[in-house]
Amino acid sequence: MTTARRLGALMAIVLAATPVRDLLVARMSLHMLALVPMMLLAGWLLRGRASSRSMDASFDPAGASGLLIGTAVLTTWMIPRALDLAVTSPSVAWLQSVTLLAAGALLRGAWARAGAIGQAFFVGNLTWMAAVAGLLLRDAPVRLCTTYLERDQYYAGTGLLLFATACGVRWFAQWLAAPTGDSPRAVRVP
Amino acid sequence: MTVRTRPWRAAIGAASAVVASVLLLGWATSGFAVLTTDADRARRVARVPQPVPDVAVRSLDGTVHTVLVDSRTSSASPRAVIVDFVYTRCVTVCGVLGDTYQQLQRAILERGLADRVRLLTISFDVAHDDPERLTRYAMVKRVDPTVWTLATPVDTSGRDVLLQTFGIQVVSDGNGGWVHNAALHIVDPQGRLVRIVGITEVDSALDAALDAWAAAR
Repeated sequence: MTTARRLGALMAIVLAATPVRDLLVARMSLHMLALVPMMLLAGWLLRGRASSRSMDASFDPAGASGLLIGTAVLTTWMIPRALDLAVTSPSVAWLQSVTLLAAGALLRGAWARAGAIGQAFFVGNLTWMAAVAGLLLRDAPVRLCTTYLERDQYYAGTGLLLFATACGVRWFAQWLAAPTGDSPRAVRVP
Repeated sequence: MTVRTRPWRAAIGAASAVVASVLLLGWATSGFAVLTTDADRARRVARVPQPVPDVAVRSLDGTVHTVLVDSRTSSASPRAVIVDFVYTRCVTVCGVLGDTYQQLQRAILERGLADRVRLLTISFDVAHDDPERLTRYAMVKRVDPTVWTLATPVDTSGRDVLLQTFGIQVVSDGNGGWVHNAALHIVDPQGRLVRIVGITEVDSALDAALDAWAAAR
């Protein structure tokens, strides 16, 4: 087991089964902007280096299926009802951990196989979704989650908006840096 | 990266991914119908009425009775009830609820509906809202006891059962107070929670209560 995979396993255990989880789900902003991305990262690290002969490569040669599942999982954990249940129901808390770990693991292989167009589609989708969700959370006149305070909802919205902006800027900068006339090259992630 | 393509495997992979995505998003949104817990609750209640448990409460005059007992015994036929949850120290959403209830009380009296619909405000602040504090709240709100009754559960276990039944989540606001989801809950004369509407929807709450009353006759 490599160091990265050990780190992924450690992150997964700490985030799923220790008081760290309670600490992170206590606030909407930490739940959406720390717990969810870190659990996804744990899945990514646990997967290890993507190989072309792996199972998911033969069932998902173009990476589209993995990116679709990644999008669906991330969308699910932005839905207020799902966030509430992840706090109040232990079984949904496990569902959240398992789906995010699986999505992270699948994304690692799928990302590499998807190529520049697939990656741009995925990042573009995610960016817009985070931006729209962020604006909605900031502007909502009522609380959308029954478990979180309105102030915290505003912070979570601001965080999502900043995340989306950072994603967009990074992607655009990379595009500008690409040789003239080329589409952006596939991003290599170790 | 070169991948040896086996089309049927890719097709199975794609189909599974679509099915998994639809299942997960469908679960989170109760079949692509709702985004929030409150909306889900309102939808479920409208489909399947929820019996309200017989929790013991203490009312303004200090008497203990079960939560849905109609204090006005002169009324031969039972009335539909519009229930809300507050705590009297609340400075946020409970103020809106108080205004809505004053409007409801006025509408019930003006339209002569006091034989059909009544109002019930339940405080979940078991430790603080004793009959004395409820009485003060009732005076401020100009409560007409023939239409509007107030009560506090006698213990926290009864309170929690009520909050669970009505789907109220109480969260600490970090300053000694609480934040809670608020709504108008329509309970029919048989004691079943049949509708949940928004806290400013006076007319739909009244209509729903009258429907519930008419349906029980």
